[in-house]
Amino acid sequence: MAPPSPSVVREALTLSRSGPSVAAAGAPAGPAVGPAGGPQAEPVGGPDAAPLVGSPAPVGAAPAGRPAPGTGAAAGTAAAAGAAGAGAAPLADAPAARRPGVPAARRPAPRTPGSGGSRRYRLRGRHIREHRMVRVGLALAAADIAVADDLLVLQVLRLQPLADLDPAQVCAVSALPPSIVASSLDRLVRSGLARDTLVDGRVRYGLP
Amino acid sequence: MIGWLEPWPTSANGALLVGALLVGAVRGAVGLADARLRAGDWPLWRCGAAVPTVVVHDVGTGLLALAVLAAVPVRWLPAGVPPVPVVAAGAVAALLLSGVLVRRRRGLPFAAVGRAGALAQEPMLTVRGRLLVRVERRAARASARWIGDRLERCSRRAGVPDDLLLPAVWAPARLRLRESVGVGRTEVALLLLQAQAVVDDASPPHERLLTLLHLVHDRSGRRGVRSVLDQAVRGPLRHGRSGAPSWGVGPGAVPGPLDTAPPNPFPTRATR
Repeated sequence: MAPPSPSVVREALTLSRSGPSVAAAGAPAGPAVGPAGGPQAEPVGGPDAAPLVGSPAPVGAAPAGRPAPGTGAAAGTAAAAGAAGAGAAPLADAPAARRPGVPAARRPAPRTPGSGGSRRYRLRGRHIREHRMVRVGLALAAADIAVADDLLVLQVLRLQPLADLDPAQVCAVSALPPSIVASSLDRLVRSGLARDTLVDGRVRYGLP
Repeated sequence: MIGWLEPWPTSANGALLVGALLVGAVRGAVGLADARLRAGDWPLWRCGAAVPTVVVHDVGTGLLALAVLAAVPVRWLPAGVPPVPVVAAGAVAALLLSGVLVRRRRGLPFAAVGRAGALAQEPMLTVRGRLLVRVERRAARASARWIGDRLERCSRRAGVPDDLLLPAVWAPARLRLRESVGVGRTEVALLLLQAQAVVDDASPPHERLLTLLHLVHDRSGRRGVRSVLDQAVRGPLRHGRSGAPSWGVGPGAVPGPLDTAPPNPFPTRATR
């Protein structure tokens, strides 16, 4: 037999703390506990798989180290441990039970800021899973931000300081598309760097 | 003896007349050229009274300089000195100095009198500068209005909304821009990318059309805008929108260029 890899050693140490004690105590009716079972432990395989895990698995259908398809590795491990009553076999087979194609057992959720022991108000979702933290949005939105396009549009207006320009003329001179120029001119007017005048039904822009 | 009491040397009249004509012609031509530079493609006779005012201002300034630099020295000329070289030198000096005078950057700070530090602030426009700004503003507004009127007339003639007019204008506008830019690969690419970005923009089609026409106007003037819109109306939009039958309905209908299906280059067994 090959020497155990570091991951095996780590999982063995984890199991020796919590898992085998529960399994060796013989609690087949209780909810299954994962390899690193703690206060955040969840039913392995989701809520649908919880009764399946709780029931003792037949030894012939799921031998030690070969869990039945559909049940997680830890489920097979816990069932085998409960059936055999020994902690040595699941220790060696825990990482090897993850075959390709078989979904791995869900590890217990990490401690997130809102998950302090309460399941009801626990923060969930993709962002919590990926970042493990809550990003609180800025309450103050930055309305006027000077970008490079604004500076370019302002330079175009400064080319002819006393002549007001149509937005289309500004576009043609500044080589920017009309939507960008429109928003830039709007920002410049609101910040007081440009002046808009209504001439012949169209707004023209110039320097104040 | 005091010069005012001496008789006017009549031999200087011809030289002064020639000098005045020379200075007036040069100053007037330069004034017209500056006004035309400010007006761009827009004709000068449609720029209002600012253009002749600029010309009169420049000619007057030149003649005033000629009077100071040529006529007064001739009047005070001592006896025995020929007046023609003096008039010629004065005319040349008036020509040069009046150019410096009318093209100066800073005007007389009449409005800044009494304000501390006003002279150190931004340069104040001269009278000529204000007139040229008026020409420029009028030309810019009139050009934009002319382009808008042309576009409205074109869409009325074609009878299509702007979103259908835009692809019809794009093809001749692209060709016109390509012809106006030269042969440099970078310049061609930059200009066509800019035009393509305008056409593909998310703004309303009217804005895109106006911007495209202003781009054409900047590159090839009003003639380019006129030709682009004419090609758009006479070309793909000649028979109205392609989807709806207009007057080509009935047994004797003549299908338009967009109503006829293109020849099938891959004939099947049924069509062969």
